[in-house]
Amino acid sequence: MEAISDIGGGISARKIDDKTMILFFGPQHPSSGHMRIILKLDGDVIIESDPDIGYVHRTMEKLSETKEWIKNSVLFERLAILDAGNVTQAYIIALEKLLGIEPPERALYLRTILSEINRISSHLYGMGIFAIMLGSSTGYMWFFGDREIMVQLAERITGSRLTHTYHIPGGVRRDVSKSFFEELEKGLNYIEKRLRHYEIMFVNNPVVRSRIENVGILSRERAIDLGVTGPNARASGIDFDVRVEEPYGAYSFVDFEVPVYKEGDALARTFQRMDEIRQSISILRQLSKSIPEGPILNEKYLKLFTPAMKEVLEKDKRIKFPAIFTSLKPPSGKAYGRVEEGRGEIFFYLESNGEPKPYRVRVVTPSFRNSILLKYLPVGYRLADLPAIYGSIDYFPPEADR
Amino acid sequence: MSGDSQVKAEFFIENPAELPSVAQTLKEKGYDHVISLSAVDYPKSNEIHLVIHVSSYTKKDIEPKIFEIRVKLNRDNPRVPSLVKIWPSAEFQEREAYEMFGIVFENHPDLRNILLDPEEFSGVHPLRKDYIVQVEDIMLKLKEEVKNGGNK
Amino acid sequence: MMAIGLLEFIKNLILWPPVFYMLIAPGLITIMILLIILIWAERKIAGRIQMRYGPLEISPKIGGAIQLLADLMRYMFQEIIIPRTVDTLPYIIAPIAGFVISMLPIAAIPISPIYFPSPVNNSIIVALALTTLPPIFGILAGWSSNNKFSLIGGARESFLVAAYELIIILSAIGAVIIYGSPDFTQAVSAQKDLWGIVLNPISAIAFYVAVLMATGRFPFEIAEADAEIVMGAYTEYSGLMYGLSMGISYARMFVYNLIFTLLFLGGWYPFFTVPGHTFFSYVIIPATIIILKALIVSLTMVFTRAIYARLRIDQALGGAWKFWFLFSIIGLLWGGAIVLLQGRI
Repeated sequence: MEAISDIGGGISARKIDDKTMILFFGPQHPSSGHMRIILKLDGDVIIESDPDIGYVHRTMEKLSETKEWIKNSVLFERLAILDAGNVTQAYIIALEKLLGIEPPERALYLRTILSEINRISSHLYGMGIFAIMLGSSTGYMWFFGDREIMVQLAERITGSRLTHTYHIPGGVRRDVSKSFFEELEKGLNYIEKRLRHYEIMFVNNPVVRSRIENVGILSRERAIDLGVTGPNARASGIDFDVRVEEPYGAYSFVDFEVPVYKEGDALARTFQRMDEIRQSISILRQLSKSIPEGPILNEKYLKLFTPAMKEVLEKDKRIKFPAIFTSLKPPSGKAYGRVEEGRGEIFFYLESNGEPKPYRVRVVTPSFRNSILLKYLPVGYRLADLPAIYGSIDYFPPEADR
Repeated sequence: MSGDSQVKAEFFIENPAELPSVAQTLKEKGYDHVISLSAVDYPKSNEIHLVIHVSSYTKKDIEPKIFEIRVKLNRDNPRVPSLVKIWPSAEFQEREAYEMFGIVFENHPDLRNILLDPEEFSGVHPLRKDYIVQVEDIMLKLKEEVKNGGNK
Repeated sequence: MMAIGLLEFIKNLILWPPVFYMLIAPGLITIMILLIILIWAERKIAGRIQMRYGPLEISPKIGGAIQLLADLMRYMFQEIIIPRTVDTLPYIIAPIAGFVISMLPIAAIPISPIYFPSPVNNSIIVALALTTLPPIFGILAGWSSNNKFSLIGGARESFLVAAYELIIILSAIGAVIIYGSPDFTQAVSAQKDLWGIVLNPISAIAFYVAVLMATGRFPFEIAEADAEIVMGAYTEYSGLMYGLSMGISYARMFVYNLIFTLLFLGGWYPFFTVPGHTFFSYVIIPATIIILKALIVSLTMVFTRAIYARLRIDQALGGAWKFWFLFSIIGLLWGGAIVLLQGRI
């Protein structure tokens, strides 16, 4: 801390180094997002970076203590709008562990389909922001435009474009029709074709490549030390994916690879996301071929249904919930749920004391775990590299701030 | 997703000063990063439990996958040695626990608020149970109106 | 009689070359119309590539072509906020003087073989000298705004000026020594059979790239990089002042492309006359040809926005000094070699 001295007239001044400049990058800045990074610059080179996050903090952990268990799934999916399915899934998995209930197989498949659709749209969103930070407006428009396909597919499954509220304890809220899988295949073919265009226009564009190659290098050891998660960790050579380490949903029924890059620079992180989209497409194809028929909610809960609710389920293939679920009281205990979200691992820790409201909910989002990169990664690079690094780690302030 | 509702591993530390040595042992065993570092408030027994979940990137066959450490802290003056030296990934999460619960991490390199405004929330720790969330709904307004003798 | 005399006077005043050049063609009015076309085309072409419509709401029947007028109206009615901490006089002068001076080289650029405002024998040198002035006002704006982003933008601008001005002048000389005269009219008449871009393609390419750099086109949109430094030197501007500062780079680009057309694209050739209509033959037709050529070159320049991202300042400067500077010297040598081959020395 520099000394603060009074120079008279009630004005205090701080002596700063003649060579350095302190730059407030955000929160009113075209590419800072809802956050501020306080930079110390020596000429054009960043010598100190201090991310000041929390501008969109909504105290979700505290708010969840004031709401009933089932209502909290609506709260938490507001963490990451494009990854709502994955976030809710982690919460519901933890809640199901508390309740001691398991969803039927078809529900697991449907959850996984939504997860992968969310993953693709989350990656497209991240790369779109990355593209506009590098100044590639075409990349931005393409990624954001094509994201619409995935959003509409999610709408076909869940009935809503972004905040799906699709997962419920013991199953899912709606079933899909046969025609959905034809549309899914059409959408996947389109994205697969477009991936080649992205590579030509964006990733292998000579200017973009020169901006992101060897920029923001994160070594494997440093990534482990900083606890980086998701595609950023895998692009630094950490072969870790929750879908493999602790399979949930239908991931144990499908065959997929986890792409890993060794370089750890912004280019590797971009290629990592492209490869993960390819893997998601392959997972979705396998799932849509092998999805079994059957109920979408655990039998134990189906017994509680009134005849009117059963009729809705038969006719519309959607679940109308018994009112008793609002005062769901899981037995006292604790449980955790972890899910591989688009940006990395999301972790929920629930503690119940047998009341209709949770005693404590702890949620650690991938962006919060990756936010530490904004402190250590830009140091030594140029000011113009900051957007490249920020965009390449796919940092999403609302998710980090919770 | 077995029916097991409890996190299996739990390591309970009564004396906060023992935490660094426990953490060092765990790190040598292969638990190399912190997933979550937070706390749970128990006002009835005047305790705050620091709850740390650690996991491993390097050792695939480690059991359990997520190891939970609980540290009992005095609610009036929660102090605990910082883990940043052992697990650098704890840095931001310790700052969060500091502002949310008022837990002081000794020897933390940069112990400041991270999410909350330091002016508005100095000395106020929102995740403690004695912090009441003001719910803005119609019932609250009615109650206040009744309290104020009706809306005139 | 008085009325006829007055009309005659007004007609003569308008057709007096200095007034005609600065106000009508290729001056203010033409540049305003071209700005509308250029910015509209930039948005439409980019829109076509980026799977969207581009501007459409203002005039759906002509594809939103007058969108820029609507934007200008908005700028005009927006309050001009002058922050208390700025150095007021240079802050106000910078965008206005920058815009005016960016059009000043027109005084030395002939658009017709016999009708020009300033019959200087060194018109190429004068025009190039005048094009170097506007960046000074960009730097002034950055300095007077009292904002760190503006300051960085101004500093970047000054780094770039040092890099591109030399390339532009060297590659212009590479053309001038072939034509043997620093006079635009003689340079154009020397291209009657063969355009300069064929005679000296190296200098032409170096000139083109340097103009991209000078006018902040992609991938050299570095001094106004919005992802890094908000709006560069013009961060603190609002309303009409901001609109003017946006127009500077387009006006400069058009002026540079007039020079490019005269030096490398054969100027007013293919030149033809309509017998009996002297003004039409010697002013309107050559002016139209030159302005069309310059417009097409400008369109290729705005088109780069849809393809490229933006380079870093050190990459752009490194490229300019390590490659394009040497490239323009090769162009100079190429010009000298052509002169030798023609046996003029």
